[in-house]
Amino acid sequence: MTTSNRQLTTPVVQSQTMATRRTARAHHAFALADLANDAATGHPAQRATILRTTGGTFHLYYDPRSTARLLEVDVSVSWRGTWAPLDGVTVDLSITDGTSTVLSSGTDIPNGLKGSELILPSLGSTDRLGSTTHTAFYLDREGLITTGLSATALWRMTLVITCGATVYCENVFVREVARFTVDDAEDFGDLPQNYLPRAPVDDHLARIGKTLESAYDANRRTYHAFAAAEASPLSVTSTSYAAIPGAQSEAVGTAATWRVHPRRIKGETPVQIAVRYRTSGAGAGNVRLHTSGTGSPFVVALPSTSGAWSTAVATGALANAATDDLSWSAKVASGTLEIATLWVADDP
Amino acid sequence: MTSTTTVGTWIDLPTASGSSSPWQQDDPLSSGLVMIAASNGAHAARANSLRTLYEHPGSDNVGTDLLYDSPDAFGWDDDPSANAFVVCAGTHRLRPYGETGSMPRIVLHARIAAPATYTAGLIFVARRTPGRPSASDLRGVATTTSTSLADVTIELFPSALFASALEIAPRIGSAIPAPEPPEIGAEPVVTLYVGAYRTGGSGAWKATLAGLTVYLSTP
Repeated sequence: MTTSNRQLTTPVVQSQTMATRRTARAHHAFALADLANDAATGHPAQRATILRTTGGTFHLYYDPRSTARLLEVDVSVSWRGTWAPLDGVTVDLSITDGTSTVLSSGTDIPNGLKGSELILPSLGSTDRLGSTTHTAFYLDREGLITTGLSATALWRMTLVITCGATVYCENVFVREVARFTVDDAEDFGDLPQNYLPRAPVDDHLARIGKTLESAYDANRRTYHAFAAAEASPLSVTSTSYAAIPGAQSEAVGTAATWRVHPRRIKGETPVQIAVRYRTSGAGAGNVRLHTSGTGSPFVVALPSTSGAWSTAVATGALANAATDDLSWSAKVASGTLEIATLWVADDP
Repeated sequence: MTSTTTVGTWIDLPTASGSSSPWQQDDPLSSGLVMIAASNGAHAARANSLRTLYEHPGSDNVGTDLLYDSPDAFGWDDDPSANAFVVCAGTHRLRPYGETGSMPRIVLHARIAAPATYTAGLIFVARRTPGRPSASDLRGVATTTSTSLADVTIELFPSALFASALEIAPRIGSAIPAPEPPEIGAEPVVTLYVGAYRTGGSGAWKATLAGLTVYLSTP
């Protein structure tokens, strides 16, 4: 295994330097490897957000088919009214791929996300904004896979947030961190120093191609990451498709629209959709994602769960345009459909 | 002379690990292959530098009272229980649009409605670090007098040197002794804040905010 540090820069590689009849030189492949590394590992973009809360159990989705290694979990805490000293927030994080689960008690989960360590607002502040603390924790995607989580199946992160009476958990942001290392033990990444002047061209070149493929295949943007507390989910009782009441409606009966920026590499943007839901009885439900992509609306079938929480997935597409507007609708055959999480991300 | 770095579309090449890979040892390295790879790389680096950053369902109870031409007076300390809409929209990596060196636009899109005869507004602030928004920060304001939800967009244009460096050197997990950081580096980041308000009125006269998203778009 050989690793090399890299800076987060995108080299300028001009096509003219590669033109026919020009002598192929080491710096061509050197620059190309650096460019491929940056395209593949310098811009990972999966993320999820839990908005301001006074506590609850939340579920976030993450696709491990990524070039990112580090996931940052940033927890913000601030005053709620008049702060009582030592009121704080605890966060308990567990992750499952549906088969294997990493519990917060495991050594892959950092202290601070084990449900026992108190995260406090700023002690010396005299105002609410100044009281806000931002505490970052990091997860190792590769380490979690080594421990037993799937490298390909969707992960579900469960965060149990508990807040003291005089604090908010302002936000929890989960985001991928760009890579600072090229590691030839991975399926992607090419070491520019493989291309030395007057050295023979060898099979390292294939890694440039593989790395470029990862720039498309393993770089996923999250377009929508809505998470409600499990105890106060979105609730659907309509037996025909209608706007989902609550946070997914801008007015009664009118779905909220969410403007996003599709990744336009190969035209229309294929996406995957995940829904965390439960039905109260035997009546199945459906959620639809509306976009301007071909085939919209995209239906996510939600088999009845009789009160148990479950995950359903489907695929869709965003428009090949600078922006697309997403919206949701849902129905249930009978009883109540409850939705805790709605998630849309790239599916190249 | 202008020079081309990408044709702006992805050109499929045979799979690098397949039997017809164009990258085989001892095969000639054609200029066409390298030009396509360079074009694809620049195109992917540009496209991958853009993304959606944040969404918020908003509020139908925006009661912060403010003269719309005085965003400096916005109450960033207001408690959410007091009908205020004040959020930190996160700290996000901000890198140039591919090899161009130009930073992406940071775009806020939302739908807002004002109480009758009044104005509703949004303030969108980008800071180099978390902290109190001020007049020296990058910011934009959008207002409407529409009493039905209307689209508003605020665009911020950060300079190439706007972002600050977030040093990242984490020791992973909770094992003792703590392992060495798997990676060490610095990401250029910005922190975003959003506030909503209405002018005049009081009591039941509230503005409505819905479908708030923040994304990076082409410079």
